[in-house]
Amino acid sequence: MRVRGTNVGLLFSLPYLVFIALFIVYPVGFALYLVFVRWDLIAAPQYVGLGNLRYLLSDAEFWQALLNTLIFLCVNVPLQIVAALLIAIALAQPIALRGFFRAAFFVPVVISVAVVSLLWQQVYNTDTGLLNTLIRAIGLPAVPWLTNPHVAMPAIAGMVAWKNVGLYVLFFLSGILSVPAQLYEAAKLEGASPWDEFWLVTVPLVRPAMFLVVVLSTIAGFNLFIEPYVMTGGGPLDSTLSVVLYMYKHAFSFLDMGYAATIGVALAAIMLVVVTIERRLIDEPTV
Amino acid sequence: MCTLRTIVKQRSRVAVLTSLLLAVVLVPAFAQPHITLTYWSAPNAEELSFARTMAQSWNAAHPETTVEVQPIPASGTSEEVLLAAVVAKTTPDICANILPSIMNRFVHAGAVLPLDGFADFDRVTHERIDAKTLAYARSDDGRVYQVPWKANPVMLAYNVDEFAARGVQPPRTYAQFMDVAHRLTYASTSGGRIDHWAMNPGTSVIWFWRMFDFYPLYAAASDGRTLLDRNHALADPRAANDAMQFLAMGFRRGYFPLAAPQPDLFLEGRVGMRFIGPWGISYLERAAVHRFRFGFVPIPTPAAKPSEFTFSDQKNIAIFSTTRHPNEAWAFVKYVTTRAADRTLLKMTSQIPLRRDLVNDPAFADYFAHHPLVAAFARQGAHVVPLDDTPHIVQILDYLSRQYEASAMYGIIPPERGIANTADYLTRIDRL
Amino acid sequence: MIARRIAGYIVLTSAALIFLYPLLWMALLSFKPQDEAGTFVAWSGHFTFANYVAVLHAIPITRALANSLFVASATTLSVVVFSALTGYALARLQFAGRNVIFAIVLATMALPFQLTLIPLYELIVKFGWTDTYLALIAPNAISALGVLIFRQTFLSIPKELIEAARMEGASEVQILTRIFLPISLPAVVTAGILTFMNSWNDVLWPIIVIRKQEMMTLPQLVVAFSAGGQADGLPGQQFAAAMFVVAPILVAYLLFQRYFIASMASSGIKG
Repeated sequence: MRVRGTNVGLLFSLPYLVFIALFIVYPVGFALYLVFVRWDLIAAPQYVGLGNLRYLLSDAEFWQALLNTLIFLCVNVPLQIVAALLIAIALAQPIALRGFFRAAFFVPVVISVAVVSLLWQQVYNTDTGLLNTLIRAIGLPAVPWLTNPHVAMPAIAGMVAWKNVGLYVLFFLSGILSVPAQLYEAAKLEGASPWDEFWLVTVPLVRPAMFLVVVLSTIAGFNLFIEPYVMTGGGPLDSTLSVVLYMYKHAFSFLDMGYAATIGVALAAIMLVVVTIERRLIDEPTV
Repeated sequence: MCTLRTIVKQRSRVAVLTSLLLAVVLVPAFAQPHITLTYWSAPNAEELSFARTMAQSWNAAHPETTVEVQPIPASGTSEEVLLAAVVAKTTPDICANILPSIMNRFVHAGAVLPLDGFADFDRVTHERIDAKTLAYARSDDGRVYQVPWKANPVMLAYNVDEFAARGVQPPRTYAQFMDVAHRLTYASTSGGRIDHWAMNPGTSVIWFWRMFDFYPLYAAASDGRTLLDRNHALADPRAANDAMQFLAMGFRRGYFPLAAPQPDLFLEGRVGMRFIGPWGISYLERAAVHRFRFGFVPIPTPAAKPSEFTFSDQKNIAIFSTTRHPNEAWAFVKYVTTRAADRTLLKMTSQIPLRRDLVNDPAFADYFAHHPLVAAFARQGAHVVPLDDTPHIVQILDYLSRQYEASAMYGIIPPERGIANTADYLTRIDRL
Repeated sequence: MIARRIAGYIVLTSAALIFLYPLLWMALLSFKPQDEAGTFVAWSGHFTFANYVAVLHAIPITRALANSLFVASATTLSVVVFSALTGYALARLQFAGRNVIFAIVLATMALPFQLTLIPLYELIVKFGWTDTYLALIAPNAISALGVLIFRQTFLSIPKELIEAARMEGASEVQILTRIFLPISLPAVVTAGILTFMNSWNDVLWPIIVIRKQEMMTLPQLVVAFSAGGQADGLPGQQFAAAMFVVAPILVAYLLFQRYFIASMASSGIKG
């Protein structure tokens, strides 16, 4: 049996191993090589040593893009957590049409990011957009959602929240519903107010879900590309420039594969560090 | 009688006959190999039409060489498409839509043929092109890989009817321009929002837009210098400052709207002037919702000058080194740049052939007499300057665009600061 | 109690409006003539197909639809087949290096795509796969998440079943296809839906490797059409084009809602 298992096991795993070697190991290695060269895909690569890294450290646009990501996360994550938690709590109650509501919130989740970006580009349009028409109708001045450098990135953060909250509602809902009813009853017996109930019972028990939301949103924030690409092109004044968009610009507009790969490596490293920190801060210690 | 001998004899006869037939048919085909050349033209209707006309007459006169015209595949900019084709080694024999600024990459990669290697190169180019234009076409290694073909000089188009209604003349200097601009910016309904402006420079930050707003102004203000000098520093910082200040002033005073690049406000009659090339003539005639008369004057300059320069927006022709028939390709390139061909180009596309002394050439005099608007561009065609041919040009214009956004469009930093930043960036860009 | 319930309904109804109305607005706007764009209430007296006709004329959108369908289906098939194979091997077959491979699977799940994006492009160019279906399918042909899902599912199937089958002389392939897969249909559906959705909605990778219009995927073509200026900034046409992307997945979602929700929820929990 053992011999047979060895052969068959390796055979079954072979496609995956080939795939990994070709599409993961080789690219990672090649990316690390590209960090040290300058190459436009057409002529031969030129060795430049630490030049790309040195330039990265002093590259104002790169750091601006990172800052933009931070701004994005600061708006996006709390918004998502609050909205998803609120909705999940409302859904957790015994109400009619729960299935309908849950399905309704989930619709933006399955829609392509490209479509969502095109839709919200119009929704945010200063003159004819859905939002400003509503705002003007109640007498307030129109907001330059995508043309003001201080508002643009938060606006995108809001849009991404709109798209993803439906999914996070599910995570929170399963967390809340898993809280045994006895815990709430016990709390009530001890005279806990609804507020106490929330903080002392609900929140701790949805902590794993909250961690998931934070991590997934962080990854989404670092992955921003199609949203600024379609809606703002990175502007105004580079306020919506995402790191991936910046990387794309260097690779395909400037034909600087080496520096683009350097940005990619740096971004991956930063992201891993950030997620690790989030793990330490938010996730429960796995006993 | 069906003996074996008879059958063999019959079969041999058939065999001999068949071989003779085959020989008659095949030998000529092998003796004269048929050559097909692929020729990429810009995808717009007029240029395609010109290319096909040329190909047709060539094919009729040269049965052994067929030229096949294809539009450059449309996805993204032509520059991107060409670069992708070089990488994938799917380049055509000839391409007639090359922006000179990207030639350096092709040269560096050995993707294009040095044309000055052909025996009659000097004679042919000297007959058609003046020394300065040829100098621009020379690459860093001293050889010439492209034939300067046609220009789309950028001029200032103005709405003749609107100008008459507002009582203004087309401006020549910055001061005159600002004056005119003031009269052209107004609200059509009393008490309403301003909905008519003087001009609509691009508000997109994508690099190539600067070729049509900042660069023509710079070319005019600097008397025809390119953006960079031999050391890759700004060739004329003062002209750059002048150009940026001009744009900044227009935005600050509200003469230029901050609206998105589309729709075309000039076409709609809501903007009095715009920068445009000769392709604008047929564009404006074809597309205007409310027809209006339009005219063209040179790009304004800080102070009056004897001759005004502008951006050439030229396209050159190159032969890719993947070609298997360089001599035939060169023959067709020569065919497409004869006087007769240049006349056809003018007639079909209104674009200006880069032929020396075009305006005084008797072969074209008749055409210019009947087409005064095109003649204006032809005159301008004698004072044009292309964009620099350097590998970093996209990056430089991208950086410049962001300075333009910050200083001219939004007024966050003074225009001089924007140009100073650009000059500083130029020193850092050759970092490796 | 009642107050809470009412508050709950208010929250839920307003939320549903916020999530659904923009989509409704988009759908209705795509049927409105151009000069009526820009109103809050999307209803109109003059619904028309003009925008859709314009889109069909301007870009090869049905071709792009076919492209997306083909690529998403092929990718899904590939992922399900190979993930099942590998997941089975990792779960129930003993062989040297099994733990190493599993560690690799976990590690690749944490790998950010930004790292490999540029080298992958170079690889595609080197193979000459630009502007081909292969470029879209191959780099996504197997997913670590798929392998994980199948491994976990197969682990939960009792060993006795396999022992019994092996005693009867069944080959591993037979065990996999006749016993495991039918039982683990939820895993197949989950992996299938996740893969299909990701493949259908992906835009960044197609933008990088596909330049020819006829080979573009549906969302890519719609983006090129809208952001590239062909739609002349007309939202009606942009939305009409977008509806082509939205409609299929929306129909699939409405029909298989439960599976969509279950799949995505479980992917998060496993991740």
